[in-house]
Amino acid sequence: MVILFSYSGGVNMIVSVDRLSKSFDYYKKELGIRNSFKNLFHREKLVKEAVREISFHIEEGEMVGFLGPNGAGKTTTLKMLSGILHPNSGQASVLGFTPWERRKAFKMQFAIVMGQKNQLWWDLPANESLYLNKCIYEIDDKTYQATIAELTELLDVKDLLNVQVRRLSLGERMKMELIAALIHKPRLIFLDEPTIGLDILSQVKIREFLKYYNQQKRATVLLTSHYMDDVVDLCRRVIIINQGRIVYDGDLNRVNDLFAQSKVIKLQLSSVVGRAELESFGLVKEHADFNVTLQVPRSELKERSKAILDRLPVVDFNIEDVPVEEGIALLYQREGAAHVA
Amino acid sequence: MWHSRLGWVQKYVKAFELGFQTALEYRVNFLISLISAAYPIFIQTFLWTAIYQNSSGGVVYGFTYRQMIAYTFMAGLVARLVRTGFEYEIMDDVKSGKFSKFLVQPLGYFPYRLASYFGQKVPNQAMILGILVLVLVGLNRFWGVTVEFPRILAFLLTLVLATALNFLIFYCFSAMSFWIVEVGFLYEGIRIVTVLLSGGIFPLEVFGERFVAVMNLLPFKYTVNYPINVLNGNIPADGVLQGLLMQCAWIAACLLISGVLWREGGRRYVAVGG
Repeated sequence: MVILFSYSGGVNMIVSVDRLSKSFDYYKKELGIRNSFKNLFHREKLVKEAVREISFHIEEGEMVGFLGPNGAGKTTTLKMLSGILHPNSGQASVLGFTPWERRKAFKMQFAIVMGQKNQLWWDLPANESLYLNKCIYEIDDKTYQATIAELTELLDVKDLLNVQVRRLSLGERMKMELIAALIHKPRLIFLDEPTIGLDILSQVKIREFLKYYNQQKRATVLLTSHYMDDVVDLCRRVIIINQGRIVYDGDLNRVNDLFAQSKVIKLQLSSVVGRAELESFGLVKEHADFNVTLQVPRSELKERSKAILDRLPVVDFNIEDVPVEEGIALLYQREGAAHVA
Repeated sequence: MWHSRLGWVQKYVKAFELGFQTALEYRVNFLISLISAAYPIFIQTFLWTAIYQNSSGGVVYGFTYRQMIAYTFMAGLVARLVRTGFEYEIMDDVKSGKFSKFLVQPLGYFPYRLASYFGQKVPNQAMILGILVLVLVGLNRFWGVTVEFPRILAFLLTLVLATALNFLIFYCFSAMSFWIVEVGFLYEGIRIVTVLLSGGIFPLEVFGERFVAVMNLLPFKYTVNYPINVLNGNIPADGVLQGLLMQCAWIAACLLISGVLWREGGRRYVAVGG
């Protein structure tokens, strides 16, 4: 394990968030044409509180996992910290700047990567987009060449630089997105679901890279994901957010057991099997004709899997983590109200 | 200091280049769109031919038959030359949240769009100008129409300003993306009306004197009608200068308006997702 703070002196705060809140207005519309007409004249305005009074601090060189179910407020928080959105209330200091003032000096020092959005030019080879970023961040040729050589080597995409982005696979494209985001050697990186939709091999490769990058460059990383594996692999500290509030902030190991003690096995069967028989393999979470979801203790995963494959008419077989939502529910049960903001 | 100033320019030079490359990538699409642009020109040619055959005197709205046909061809081509298209990209940027990346990178959205737009325009304009030269040579050979060299230079100057002006007009309109999510259907309507008002289909004189007087004050005619009149000699030399001043004045005005609209719109921007 790498020692995070090897230098003497005070710890440098990179991110300080103080009671930050953000809400969105939206309109409700009932199903059907009649209600569409009704909405033309009167629309019921609703407010969604995406983030409610969250506070936390991140030190230089830390790699923090930001975990929560979909719609918990992870991305909204990242968007406020990167200056895309104005908060409704609260303060934040990022690299010494107020992000939503959008100062150039601030923009030159951080990067945000969103797994579901791409910033590369779709019709052009990746190196064109990379070169555009070189120009945007005003990097000299020599530094640029060296950085590209290093990053493409690490991510194993050297041969793909000249290929049109639209012809790349999702994993390859994500690697290019990462390179594009790191070209100006940001001190702070926000990663929003960097491994979403990727196959296991690409996920592992990207995780390895992020770990290496964090350790070598001492870049501060705030990573959101709803894959527990991402966070377990990369982060010692985790902030868990649910319904806009921070429900846990601290050592990953303390919550890891909760998430990791069980695994979920999803099965597709070729014929219907009775619930009683299924229960002998694990806790039945879902049972609908041919589709079955079982929860099994992690320690017995191997044996149970074998038994399932041997004895059930399995067509498709998937092992997954316990969904974050359930992990959070477990967290509530165990921690009680102590950590609930 | 020098380097940082150079660096600032470089990013927009690169945006220009990327726009240029994108236009080349889609050159077949562009050629096909040119063919579709020829279609209305032919329809109008038949229409005017029928009108002139049935009118006595041979002059309609102050245009002879040959002048009218020459105008129709030139208007079709010039309207193509200044035509935008980035407004759909802006709509997409705002709707899909891609606009966010411009907020987090040290890159201005307006100069970026402008550079990229001119980059995309250059190869297309080169092709259309080529066709325009062919049309002029044809008019010269078959109908004996001559164009003086200074007028061609003046035309090219007004064309650059017309392209910039049309960019700004549509940059203002595209700020609507912040208020209306599915703004695309409106763009098409706006485009048709502006093409008509700019004289991209008929000479403005067709609509009567009072209409022309109003149009003289609005920016639209300075994108199509005015450059054509410079080229075909419909306006005297001092009128050319006056038109250039109007172009510059409207460019300045649209810059101001777009600045206000985009500042207000930017505040309304809600990054999508999350």
